[in-house]
Amino acid sequence: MKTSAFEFPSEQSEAYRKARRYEWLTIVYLLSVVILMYAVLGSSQAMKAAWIEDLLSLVPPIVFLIATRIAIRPPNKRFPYGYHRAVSIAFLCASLTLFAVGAWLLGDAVVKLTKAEHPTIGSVSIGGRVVWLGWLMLPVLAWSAIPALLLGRSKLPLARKLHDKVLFTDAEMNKADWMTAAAAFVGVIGIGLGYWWADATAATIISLSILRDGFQNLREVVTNLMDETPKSVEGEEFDPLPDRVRDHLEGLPWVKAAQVRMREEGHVYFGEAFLVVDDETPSMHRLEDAARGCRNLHWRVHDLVITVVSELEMDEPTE
Amino acid sequence: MLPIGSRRLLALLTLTAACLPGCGDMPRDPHETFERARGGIIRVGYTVNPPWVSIVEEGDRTEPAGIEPRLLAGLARRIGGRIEWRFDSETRLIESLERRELDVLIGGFKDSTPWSKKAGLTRPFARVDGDRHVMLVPQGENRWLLELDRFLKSSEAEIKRQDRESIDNRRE
Repeated sequence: MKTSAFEFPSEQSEAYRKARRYEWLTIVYLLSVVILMYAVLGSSQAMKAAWIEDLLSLVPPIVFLIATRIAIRPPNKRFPYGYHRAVSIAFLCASLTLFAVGAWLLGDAVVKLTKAEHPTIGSVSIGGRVVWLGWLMLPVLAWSAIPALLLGRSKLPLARKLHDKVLFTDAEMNKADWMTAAAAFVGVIGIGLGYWWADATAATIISLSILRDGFQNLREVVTNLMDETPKSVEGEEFDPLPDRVRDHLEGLPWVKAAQVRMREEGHVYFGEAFLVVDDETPSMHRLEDAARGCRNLHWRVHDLVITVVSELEMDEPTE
Repeated sequence: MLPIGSRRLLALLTLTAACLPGCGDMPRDPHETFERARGGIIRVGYTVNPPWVSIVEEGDRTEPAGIEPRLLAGLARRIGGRIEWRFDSETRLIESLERRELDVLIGGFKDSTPWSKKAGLTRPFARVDGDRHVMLVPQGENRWLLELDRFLKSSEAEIKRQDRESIDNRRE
C-alpha cells in the first residue's frame, strides 16, 4: 500500500504548475470582468445573462485549485486510497456548473423571446454628457470574450497532459464565456439597431452549445464516479491503458492468462489484475516485479493489486 | 498565433466593423417612438403625486400641473411635439404603457418602483431625501429613452432652481 504523497512525473509536474498559474490568472481576470460588467449592467436585463455566466465560471478554476491541492495528499488510515477522488468531485462541480449555465441561459432566452420582451438599455452620464449604455457594454463584452478565448485554448493541452478533466471542463467554460460574450455583443448591437429579438436569439443559439458541452461532461463525470473504465479527457474513447497493462502481464513468461480492470480516481487509475499462472505459486519476487512493471508502463497506473487465481472468473465484459 | 476558434471571433469583429457606419445613430427605437414624437404627438399618462404631478381644475377641464408636467411641456417645446395628456390610475396606465399606447408615464415614480419589470426607467432626474425620481417609458424604446434622458439632464439645473421651493413647501 502506498503511503507517500502523490507526485506527478517531471513533465506533468511542470504542466501542473503552469495549470495552477493559469487558474489563478483566470480567477483574477474573471473578477475584473464581473466588476466591469456590473458597472455597465444598468437596469438592462440583456447583460445579466452574460454577467451571471461569468460569475459562475469562477467555479471550475476555484474547485481545480482546491481539488489539486487535496488530491496529492498521502493516503492514511482514514483514506487508505489517498485523496485522488477529490478531483472527480471537483469535476462533478465544474460539469454541473457548466450544465446549469447552459440550462439557465436557454430558459432565460426562450422566456424573453416568447414574452416578446423588449430589452431596455438606458444611459449614463459621463462628465456631463449622457451616453447610451450600450456603447460602454461593447468594450466590456470584448474584454469578456478575447482573453477568455485565449485562456481556454491554452488550458486544453495541459488538461490532456495531466489527464485533468476539471481543467478540461474549465477550458470549455472559458469557451462558453467568450461565446456568450460574443452573443451579447451581437445582441447589444442588434438592440441598438432596433431589433429587440437579436439579443435573446443569439443567446438561445449559444446556450444550446453550452448545454451540450455541460451535458456531455455531466454524463462523463457520473459514469466516472460509477467506476466506468477510464476514458480520455475528452470523454470520447476508452483509454487503451488497461489493455496495455493486460498485454504486459500476458507477455510475462510465467503468466498464462490475465484480466485487468481499472477505475479512474482523478488524475490516476486504480485497479486489479487477475493472473492464471504456470506453476502453483509464483514467488513474491515475481509478483512484485510484475506490479512494478505495470506501474512503469505509465504514470497513471497508480495502484495495481495483483491476484493469482485458478481460472479467470469474469467473462470478458461486453462492450 | 491565433487559435482556430478565434477565426469566428475575427469574423464577428469584421462584421461589427462593417456595420459601424450604420451604427452611428444607435440606439434606434424598435417602434419608432422618438421619430413619431418629434414634431408629432407625445402621449403622456399621469397619475397624481404632488409636488411631482398634481391636477388643477379649470372649469370642467382638468389639467396636469407640478414638476413633471412642466418638464415634459419643456421637452415638447424642444422637439416640436404636442402633448396628449391622459389621467388614470397607475395600474391602468402601466397596462397602456405595456400596450405601447403611451410614450411616457409620470407620477413621482422612484427608481425603486416595482413597475421596473414592466417599463423602462429614465435616469434619476431629481434626488430628494435619498429618493431618486424617474419617469417610465415603454420597454425597449432605447432612442426615445436616450433623448428623454438627455433632455432631463439638460434640465437638471432648472429642476433644482424651480422646484426646491415646491419640494420644501411640501416638507413643511
